[in-house]
Amino acid sequence: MIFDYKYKGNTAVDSNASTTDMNFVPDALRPPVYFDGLLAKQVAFREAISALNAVVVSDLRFQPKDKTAYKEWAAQNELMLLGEYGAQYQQGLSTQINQIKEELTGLQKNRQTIMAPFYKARRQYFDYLYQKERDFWFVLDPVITVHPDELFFECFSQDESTYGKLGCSYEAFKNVGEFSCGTTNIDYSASLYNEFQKIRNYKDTRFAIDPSGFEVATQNEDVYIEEKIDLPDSWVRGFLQVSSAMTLPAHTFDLHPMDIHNICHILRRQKEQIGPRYIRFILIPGQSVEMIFEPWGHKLVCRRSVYNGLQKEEIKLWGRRRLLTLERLIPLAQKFTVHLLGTGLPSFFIAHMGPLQFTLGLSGWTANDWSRSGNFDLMAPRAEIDTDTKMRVMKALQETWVETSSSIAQRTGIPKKTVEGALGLYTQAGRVIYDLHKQSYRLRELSREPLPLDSLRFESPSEARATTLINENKINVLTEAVADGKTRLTGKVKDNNTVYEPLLVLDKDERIVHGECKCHHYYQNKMFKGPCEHMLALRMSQARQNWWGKFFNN
Amino acid sequence: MKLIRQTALWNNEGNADKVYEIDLCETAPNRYVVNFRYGRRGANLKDGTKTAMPVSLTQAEDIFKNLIEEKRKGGYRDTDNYVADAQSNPTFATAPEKINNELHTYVLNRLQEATQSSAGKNLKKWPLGRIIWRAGELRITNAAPLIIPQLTKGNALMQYIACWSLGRCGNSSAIEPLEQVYGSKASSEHVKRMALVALLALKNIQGTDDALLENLLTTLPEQVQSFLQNDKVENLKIYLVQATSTPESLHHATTIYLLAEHFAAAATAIFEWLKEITLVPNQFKVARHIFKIAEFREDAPIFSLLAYKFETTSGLFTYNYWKRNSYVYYNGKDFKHAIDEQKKENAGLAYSDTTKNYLMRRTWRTMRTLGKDHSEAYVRFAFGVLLQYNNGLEGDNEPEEIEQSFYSYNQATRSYENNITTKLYSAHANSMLLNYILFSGGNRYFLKRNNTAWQLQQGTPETAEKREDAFPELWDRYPQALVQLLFDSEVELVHNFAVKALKDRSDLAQYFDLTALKSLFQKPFAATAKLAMVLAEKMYDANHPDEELVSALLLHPIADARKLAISWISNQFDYFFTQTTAVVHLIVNPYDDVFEVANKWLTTRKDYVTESERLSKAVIDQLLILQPVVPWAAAAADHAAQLLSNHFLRYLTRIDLAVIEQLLLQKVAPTQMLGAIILLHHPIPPQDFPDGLLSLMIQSNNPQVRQAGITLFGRLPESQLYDNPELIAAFCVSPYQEIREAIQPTVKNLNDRNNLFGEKLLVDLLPYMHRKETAEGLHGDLLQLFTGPLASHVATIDSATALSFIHGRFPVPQILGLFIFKNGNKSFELSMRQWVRLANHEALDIRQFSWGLFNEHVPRVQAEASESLRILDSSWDDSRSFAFRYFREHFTETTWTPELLVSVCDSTRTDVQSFGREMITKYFQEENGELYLMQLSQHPAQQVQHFTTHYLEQFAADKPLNIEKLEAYFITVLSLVNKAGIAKKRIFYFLQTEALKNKQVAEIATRIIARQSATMAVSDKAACIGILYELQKKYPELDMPLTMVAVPVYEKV
Repeated sequence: MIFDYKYKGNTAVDSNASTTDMNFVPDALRPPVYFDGLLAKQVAFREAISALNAVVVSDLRFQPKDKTAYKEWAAQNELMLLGEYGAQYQQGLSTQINQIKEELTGLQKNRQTIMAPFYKARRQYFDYLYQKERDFWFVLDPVITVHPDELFFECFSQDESTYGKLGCSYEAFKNVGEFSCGTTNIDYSASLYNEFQKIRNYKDTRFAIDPSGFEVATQNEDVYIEEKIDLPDSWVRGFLQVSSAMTLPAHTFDLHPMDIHNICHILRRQKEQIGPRYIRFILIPGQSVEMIFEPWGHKLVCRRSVYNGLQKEEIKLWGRRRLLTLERLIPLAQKFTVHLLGTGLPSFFIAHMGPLQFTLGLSGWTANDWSRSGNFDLMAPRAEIDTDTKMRVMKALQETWVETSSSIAQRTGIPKKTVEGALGLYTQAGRVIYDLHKQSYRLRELSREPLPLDSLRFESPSEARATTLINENKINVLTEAVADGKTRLTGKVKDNNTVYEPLLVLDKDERIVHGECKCHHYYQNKMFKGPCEHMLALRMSQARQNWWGKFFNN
Repeated sequence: MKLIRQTALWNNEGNADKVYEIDLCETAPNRYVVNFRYGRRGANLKDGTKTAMPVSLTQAEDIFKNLIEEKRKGGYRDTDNYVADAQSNPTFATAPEKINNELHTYVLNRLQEATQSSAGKNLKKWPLGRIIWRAGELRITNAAPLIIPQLTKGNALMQYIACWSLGRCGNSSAIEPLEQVYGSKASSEHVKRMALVALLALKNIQGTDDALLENLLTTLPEQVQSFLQNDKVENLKIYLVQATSTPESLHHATTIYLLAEHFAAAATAIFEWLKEITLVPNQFKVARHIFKIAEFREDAPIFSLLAYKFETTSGLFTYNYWKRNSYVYYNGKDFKHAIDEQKKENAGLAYSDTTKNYLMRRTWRTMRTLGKDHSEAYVRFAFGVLLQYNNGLEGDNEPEEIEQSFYSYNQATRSYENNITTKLYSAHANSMLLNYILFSGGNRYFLKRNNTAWQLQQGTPETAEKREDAFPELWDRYPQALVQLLFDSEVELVHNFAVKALKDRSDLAQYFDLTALKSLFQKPFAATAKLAMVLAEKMYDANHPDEELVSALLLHPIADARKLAISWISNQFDYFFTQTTAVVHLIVNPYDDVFEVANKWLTTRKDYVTESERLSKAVIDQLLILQPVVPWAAAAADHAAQLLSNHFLRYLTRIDLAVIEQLLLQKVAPTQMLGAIILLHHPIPPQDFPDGLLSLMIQSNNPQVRQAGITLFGRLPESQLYDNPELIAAFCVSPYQEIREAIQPTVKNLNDRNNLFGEKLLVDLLPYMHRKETAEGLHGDLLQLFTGPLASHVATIDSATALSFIHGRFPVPQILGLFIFKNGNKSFELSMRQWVRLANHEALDIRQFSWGLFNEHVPRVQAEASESLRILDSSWDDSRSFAFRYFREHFTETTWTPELLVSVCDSTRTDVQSFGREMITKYFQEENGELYLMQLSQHPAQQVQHFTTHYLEQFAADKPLNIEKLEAYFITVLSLVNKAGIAKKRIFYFLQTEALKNKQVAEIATRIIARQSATMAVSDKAACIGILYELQKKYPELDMPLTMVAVPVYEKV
């Protein structure tokens, strides 16, 4: 999916000994959004926006070790190694080998001495290029929204797994000038991070979103900077999944800042070499929240944080290293609110810093590959609402920008459930977000053009077919057995009058590690192209049962 | 915090180059700390402290001394001993290069024995047929009576052999029996044919062959008869070519060849026709018959032609394993029995692999036999064969090494092994006869049995001193053949052989005359040329110098030959310079050595200038006829052009413009250039040139000619040039570099006379610097123009335009921007922010310019300190290190205000931060301490947060208000995960101390500690509990999350 942006100049932060000016340049192709104000909580804003930057640049995907250098060395030295091996059988050969080796080492040393300045200069040049083109690292510029009550930034990480939102209510500003509400993208670059670090409480800090842009002093530089960003569909899908997850019911509790400190403390001190790599939250009503860190089994009891839910829960959270983003916020936060949807589902951590709230949204797993597919479908429409009603709800929200569902229901006379259903659909389309902090819906158009929801709905055609199978109720999950930490799922799936009996094995980290089926797709591809529709249908219906079961069957 | 003492230590053991700096600082009255920094020299140093808590001066000094002592033991020494960066000079590894009667008698005896009925066993060793053949070979006249009975006794083969032998022996007694065989109906075709050949030979000796010839002639068609009698070679050849396609008349070719000894036309026509035939069925049959006759007659041209043909034509088909029943597919037909097919009259098959192989070996055997018998025919045969290779050898003459691998079973290891053997093959390994004739006499080359390629012995020298040809003494008998080979052969190997055979002969000169010598010099082979030189030296007559010989030597690729010619000329300088040919070739010569000599002569011997006009005209004529296809044409023309323009320019300028135009139209580039040079010096001014001459030059393919064209254009009268400013601007941005270069002097000239011209031109050209280059190097040439002739106008360009060049995308205009600033004295128009931006520019020159500005305008930099300090944030290391030096040197206590110092520390670069801390420590003043504490406490960097702890005791102690302001700082440092242990320790200590002093502080401390006490870090937690406990003891009324639990007491039971 191609996103076009056009910026008039670059976002600039200019600071000197006594003032800091932040001029954010919005996308010129979108309806103009502007804002101007002096920051009242400078240091808090600095720390929060640095945390947001950490989300923008974070990429925790598995990076395989680069073995090219070793392979090159091995290829060069293969003959020598073979010779050494052969020398075990032949007298005198080893002395000859040693002699030649010595000579070779000498030559190599000489070469090293001669070439060293060249290598050094080359290294420096590549480093220079790397730094110069650093802005290509970013996938999507953050989105900024101005609302009547607050202003917020949103961003999504490169690895398609972390969502960050920084909300600044107007109490965080002094002398708020004129503003116009709306959503826009802002020009963002790596060098900005450094400039943000110069924000101080004792400096007057002006915050402005200025569509007129910052006039460039020199000629012949393009006044407008146009960017075309080709975003993978999975990225957009990930973003929408996480934001639609916010509208779902969750297990909520508060954590003391030192609890987050302790989580970071455990994660900073150790590096996990084997799985499972999750935090298990043990939530017992009326008791302190407990966390178990696997694979070590460290137990963290949050004595100052009590769970107030109705039922005992155990929820596993993967991709816990993403929580280190919150490290800088610990000293500033009064508390952290945690929203856990369930095992393997997105979770949200909200840092409350007075007028500033930082929301960290985590998808179920860091990696976004097929081994996690077929998990709970966050993009499934949860209600059927006619277009007219949807339009009415949208119109109502467009008037106020931010409103609770009950308030809209009251104003429009549409039942609350219908309103929530409609807003849920808009959330999935990326036009509305749910504000966990204020428990209300906010109008936020993610893109200038409406997103092609149909193509984003499913990750793959087999996932679409699996959904149809589930909707037609053709799945029967038979067994779910656990052995040596792995879960085996078997069941019957009726497809075109044929009954398939797919089998799935999930590991401790709930990844699909093995699958079997008798369908054509499986015989053709085995698991190389991911699980077949029957396996997916099995996995999805199991996930659905578990999740909905917990919230609605009781 | 105030610096009391500082020591820097240096370690350069091995590859190390690291420093260790130790500071002793006073944080508060009688409260001292010892801090250190370490790391590679020039890199960012890491910080540390030896005193978690401030100590007294004596303690601090002890710690300071001990640390120095400890580091000295570790190999550190004082930095006074810094040696200049030992530039490690790369050390390069020294890198370790008889026709005797005896034989006749023997054969006769053997023949006699064999013809007796009781021949017995011996026949098996040397069969009768072979003996008879051998007698024929040796032409033993006395053998005839013994052979004649075999004509009637033996089978067809024996008859054939007997006919052949009798014909060769030349004994007239054989005529009658041969006639019988020839006339007999019972005789086979081939026997009859051989009998006829023999009869013709024998009767020829006797002179009684007329009737037989007449008979033969009448068997031919009438037109052929007339061709033969009227000596019409062409017609005969056409007839033969036509006969090739009609197999019925093809046998006439054999008859014609039989008549070859009597009709010259027949011999020539057959030779020419054989050259063109292919060895397909029918044609091959005739070729085979002719070959046998040629062999009998020792007809060298025909024999060698066919021998070469057999060697180079592959067999048309191959028999399979069951030879007789071979199924052969040839020429679109299937043949069931190949051998049977070949016996048919009009056989569809001929010339199998086996046949080819046999014939190849037969030619070779024939020659070998002739050689062994000391026959002069060997020389004729070999001569003919060697000439055959004139067009057939390609590639170089270097032997070729070929690796062959095969699998074999190794009993010892019980496995199959890949064996690789390397064989050295002669350069033209498959040219069997060539290798045989030239190399089989030596011991370097050999041909293995059943092989088809000649090999070289491994490890033999590349060249052999001794002769290696097959029968050297035979060749020595006929030196004319060798000499003729030198003239006729185009093969280097043959030349090498002939030269080797000839060079030591004392009578060598008698085989050559001057014309022959000249043709030897035309041969491109080094050996031949050397031989020719030896001869030339002997044969050259100084009294009658042969100019053509001298010219041939002057143009010879071998330097020694040219040297010889030069020495001849220098000996008779006066003579040669009054002549033309040799001197023209001396001047129009591609070789540098000749050029140098010619140049020297023309320079020093000015007395020959009288000849100049004649010589220069001759040279120009030579240049005009010089063909561009000659490989050395360009080099020769180049030398000629240089010599002419250097020495005869005066006379050249008298040359007619039409001739110069001819020179310009030549395809050889230097000739065109000569034309251009003459025009540049011609007395006729450019405006009087004939129409189109200037445009011919400007549109030429030759860059130099175009350049000369522009130069001439520049000489047009000024009025004409001033009228065409667009044309001059267009030349300035021409896609041709030389045009752009050539117009520059014109621009300079015009600008010098009229300043307005340059100003207008600049306006036209400047936009090209803003755009991408339309031709490579355009920006560079324009820059030359701008910084050269137009420099005075460029200096007036405004600074905004100059800045746009500097910050533009193209590197050359960036330099122009810099030039404008340097020459226009406009740096004062730039703001300090722009100076800093220049210091952050990619181009080193521009950064250096900025540094220069800083150095020259110290007061301004000091006055605009807050802006100028931004240079510290430059992404270029060199700019930053410049800045560090600069500020250390030029900024003093008065310039460094606390705000500036804090703003330096505010940088995100660690090196700048540490520079800032260094400066704060250096210029610390007590009255600003509180400001430093408050402002630095908000810094996000951990090192700075740590640094701030030094100010706590002095500027926050006993100041509850300050402590309250620092609450966020305390929480921030205490909340750091797994970091800043010492800073935390200091803060805990500070809070405890202060809280115990003041209740207001205790409340603040309780808030902070209560929050932090939830940590799971044991030491922090312990510290928190300790403080809370102390505070609770002192202020029991304070609310804190501390509950005392009684220690369980266990009692002895």
